[in-house]
Amino acid sequence: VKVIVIDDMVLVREGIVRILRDHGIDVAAAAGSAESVHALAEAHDPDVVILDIRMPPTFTDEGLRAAAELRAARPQTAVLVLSQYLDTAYALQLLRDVPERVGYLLKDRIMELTTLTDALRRLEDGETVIDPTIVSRVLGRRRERSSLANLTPRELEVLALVAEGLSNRAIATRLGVNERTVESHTTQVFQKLGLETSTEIHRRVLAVLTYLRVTN
Amino acid sequence: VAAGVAAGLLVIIGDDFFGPAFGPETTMTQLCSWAATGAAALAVAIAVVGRQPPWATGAGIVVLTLVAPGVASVGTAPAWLRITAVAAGAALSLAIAGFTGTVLGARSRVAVGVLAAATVVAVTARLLVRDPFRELRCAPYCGDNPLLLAARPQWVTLADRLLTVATLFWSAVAVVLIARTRRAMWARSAAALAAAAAALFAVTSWAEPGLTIWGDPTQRVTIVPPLLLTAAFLFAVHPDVQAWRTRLQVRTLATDLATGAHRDGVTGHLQQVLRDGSVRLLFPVVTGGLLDTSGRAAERDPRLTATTIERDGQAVAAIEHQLASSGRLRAALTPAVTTVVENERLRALAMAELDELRASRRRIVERADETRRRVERDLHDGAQQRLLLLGLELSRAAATADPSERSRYLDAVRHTQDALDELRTLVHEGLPPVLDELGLVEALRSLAETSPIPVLIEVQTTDAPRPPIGIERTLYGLALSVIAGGAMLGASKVTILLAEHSGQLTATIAHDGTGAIDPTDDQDRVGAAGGDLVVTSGPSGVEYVASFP
Repeated sequence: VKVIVIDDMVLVREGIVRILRDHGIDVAAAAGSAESVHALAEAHDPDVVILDIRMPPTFTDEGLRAAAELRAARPQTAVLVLSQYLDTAYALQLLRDVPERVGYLLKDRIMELTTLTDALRRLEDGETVIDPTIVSRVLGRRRERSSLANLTPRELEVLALVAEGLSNRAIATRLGVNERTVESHTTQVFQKLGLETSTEIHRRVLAVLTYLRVTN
Repeated sequence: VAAGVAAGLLVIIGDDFFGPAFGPETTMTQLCSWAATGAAALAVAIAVVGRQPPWATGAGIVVLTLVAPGVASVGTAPAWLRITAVAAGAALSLAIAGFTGTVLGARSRVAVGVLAAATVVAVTARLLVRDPFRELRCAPYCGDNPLLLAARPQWVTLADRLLTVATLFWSAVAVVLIARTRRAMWARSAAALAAAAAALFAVTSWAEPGLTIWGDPTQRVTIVPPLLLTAAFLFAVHPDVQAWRTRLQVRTLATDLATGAHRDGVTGHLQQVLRDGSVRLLFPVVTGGLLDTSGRAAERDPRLTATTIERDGQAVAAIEHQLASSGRLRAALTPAVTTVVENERLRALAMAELDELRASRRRIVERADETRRRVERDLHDGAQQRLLLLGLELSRAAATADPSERSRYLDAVRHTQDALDELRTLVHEGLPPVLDELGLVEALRSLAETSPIPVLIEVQTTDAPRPPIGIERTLYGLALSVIAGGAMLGASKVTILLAEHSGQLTATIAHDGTGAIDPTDDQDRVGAAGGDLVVTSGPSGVEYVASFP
């Protein structure tokens, strides 16, 4: 996997580069501002661009905007946004702005060596990556009359993995069951929640997260 | 007025009643001359006593227009002199009415000009065809008039008819103008009566040209000037009557205000009394600049006149108005009025102070928010990044460490992670970045995710633009506080309703917990952001309604 790392904090950027190289990932370039993304992507043709969400000049959502622009220009490049904020709203905005092959991870994940590399691999495979903490947050949200009460524990487990952006096959591997079983679980879950069934991973994630977030 | 009316009466009935008394030589003409001279003298007396420009000008119009026919009627003068006198008098009256702008409003000026011009038309036209002042007994003098056309009765009839049409037309114009001016009732009625009389005369003379119902046809002509002049005079003197009324009304200001007669306060009263919607009260402040009655900073309007009210040589207020001269207004500003105005000034100052306090309260809260935001940014750029890096290096070390050492490294990584979590909670709680960046609704949804009790959010502001950041932060803080309070009082849920109604944003946040609450902090915060918070507590829970204009 060939990646480009964009983060305005030099030490962190170097740390990320180091840890990726430790795992044998080809870091083609690293830079400190969102403006250089296009030039670097053109020059190195990376598989994944890793972006910090908060960068100069306004230190707000440059990362999100850069991700959307990059994707518009280069549909073949996956984008992984690292955020210091544990906030579903940003993840949802990213999912809405950047269709497919996009990831939103808490920046702290770089401390867990495998999480980052795993995310890169999944993006490479065409999956969507949503930080598990965010998923557990929206799933664990207190509801007045829980719409999730009708789900079996196994179905809840499947729902969480769907929300994290895993494909049916990946879920099957993770749970140690076959893909057909997962398919029947997802169909059940979507039916019970009244969501439109979609085999397309990205749309599935967006639908589930939005549902979990706004349903009382 | 009296002179004008008397002249008219003399013209109509003079010969019948007074003829013998004034001797055989008495003629209509002489009666008219006396009436005119009397009116002129009266007008001059009024002008002298009144010592006011409007009086003088009004009187001037009357003098010139009445004296001219008087001169014209002097029997021994040659006809050309009489004709010239009438023409010159009329022209001068027109000039005075037209150009002395201080007397009347534009419309009244036009009305006076028109009436004076009608006089000229009437008198001059009649002179051209016949000697109006010596018609019946003019035998010795009529021959002197080079324009005498008595030998052509059909011309006389034609002139009469023309005069009738002109009089009717001018009467109509006068009536319209009178109706359109916002004058006192009696002035309008009197002027309308004069115009109506002129019209009546015109109509009857059309029906019976040169005949008898008004007596001598000459008299019919001579009645026109006094009638029209009466109306003109009424217009001319009217502003002074009004000024007098104004003075009276301004003086009653204090009483009226004390009894609450005016809803709009001093300004409304002055506007009504001065019949001037542009009247404003302005108050100078020590730091320079001016305040209006609501305590807001104001500027002088250079197109308006300002009358300053002083106390102990110090300007305490200025009244802005359209009236060119402020003498009349100032004369009316008695100590009682000054006190009322000064009272108003104190109120304006208090309100200005209050506005400033509100603004300063808002600034304090905003500054606190900004400081918090800056601390958050600094922590993000500093401590958080270093902790992250520390965790990263620890986990790298763990990867290559001895199996016996590894668990210690991983513990250290976990502690680092916890430290980061705590820091994040500390920094973001109360003012999360998502609030500023994605707005209140997104932030409330995120808040609902971490809330210990269910939070139901309903938004009825879909199309509205985002409210100012200060209001968003305030409402977020309120929601946070209500959720915390609800959790403490054992609430089973919190509902948040955001609604926008005709420019007013209302947030209704309620929980179903019961117990004592102290909403002071919340009210302070909402108040500082320029809103209003009403809290009602009952057996079914507590409801907070915050509204922002």
